[in-house]
Amino acid sequence: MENKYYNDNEAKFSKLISELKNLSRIKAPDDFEFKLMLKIRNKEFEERLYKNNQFSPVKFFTPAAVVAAVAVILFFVLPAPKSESENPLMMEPKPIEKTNNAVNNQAAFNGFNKMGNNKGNQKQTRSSAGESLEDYRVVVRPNDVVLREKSDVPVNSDKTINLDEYISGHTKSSQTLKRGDLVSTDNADFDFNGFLVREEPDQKTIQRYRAIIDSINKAKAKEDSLRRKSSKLKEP
Amino acid sequence: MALNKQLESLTDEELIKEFQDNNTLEAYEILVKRYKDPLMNFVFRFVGDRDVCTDIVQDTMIKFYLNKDSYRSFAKFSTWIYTIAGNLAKNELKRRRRRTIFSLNNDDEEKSIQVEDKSFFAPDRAADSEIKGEIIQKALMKVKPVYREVVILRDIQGLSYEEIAEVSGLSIGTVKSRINRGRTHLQKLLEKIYRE
Repeated sequence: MENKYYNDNEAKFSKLISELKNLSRIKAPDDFEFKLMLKIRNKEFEERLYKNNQFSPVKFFTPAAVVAAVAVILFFVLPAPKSESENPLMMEPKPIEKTNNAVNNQAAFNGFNKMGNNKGNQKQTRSSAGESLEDYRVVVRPNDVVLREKSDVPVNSDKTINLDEYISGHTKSSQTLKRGDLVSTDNADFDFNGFLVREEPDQKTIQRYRAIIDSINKAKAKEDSLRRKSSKLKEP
Repeated sequence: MALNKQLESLTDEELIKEFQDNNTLEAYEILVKRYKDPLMNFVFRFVGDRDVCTDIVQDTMIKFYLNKDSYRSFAKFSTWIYTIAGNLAKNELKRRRRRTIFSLNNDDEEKSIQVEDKSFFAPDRAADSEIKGEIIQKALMKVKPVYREVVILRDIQGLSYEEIAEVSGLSIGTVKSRINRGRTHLQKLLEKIYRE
């Protein structure tokens, strides 16, 4: 069966095969045998043939030597890549920021801010410059200097959620249906520093500050009424 | 003289046996005479260079002379000598390829072929068969060496599949498929050349 297949193929290539068979025959030159016998009698071939077959250390180690030479050239000639990053062991240590303090102070600051401005409104009021007080944080330096720095807390203040309220379902406003972000909404690179614990100020402090604010308000109202009265008296 | 006549009537295998056993140089010479032309033809068709081909066949004969004892009587002498010649021819091709890779002007060979092309159809050229022969040789040189070798052995040298399998060290099935592929490729090349 196999033979038949190849015989069929021979039939297919019959023209080509006949052309190949009819090719002119190449003949050896007339002095072929003379030269050959001369070489054999003079033993010219021996040196050449034995040279080819003999093991030569030079030939054997040439590729390895070339590779080694290239490696050495590359090592010494090519400039070493400059590393952009400094060795952390050789770096001047940075002053440690008391981040925990800062976060706690911020929570207290926020509580005070809410209490002083809008009692019922959960939303943060914005200053005239358009910045929330939450955008700032109090930082205690190692030399006990207290600074107010721009906060890089990784939470968007507009979208922060009170987890306790959220879980218990006490918040009924439509705002709670919005999805809050723990870290950030955009693709900005923020490190997640952890959950922020909201510290509610104690009731006594609240009442004390309320009393202060009420007395200030009363004093203001009194002052206003006195001014109005004095102006009425001055009028002819 | 009488010895020569006597030796000439011997087969290849008997002659090499005589050469192996008694170191009879006449037996060697008769074998050289018998195989120089077929080997020249085979190597020339494979390498495509007459001078190189002469050197390769000379080397084949020298190798045969030096390694006569490596021949074993169970093999055919013709396949043994064709194997030596084929290996030397392949080495030559490898050496050439390496030289072409490291050569700065790689396209020299291509240029020389182009010059030859123009002379193919010159009116003052010899017979049509000679032109055809050159075209076929050019096409043969474009066939991959693995296919070229078996096609030459089969269709030009007239060896059987079994002999080719022995020369090339391949199975008969592989030999047949390689011959088939080589022929197909050669035919395509020739069709293209004839069309041009």
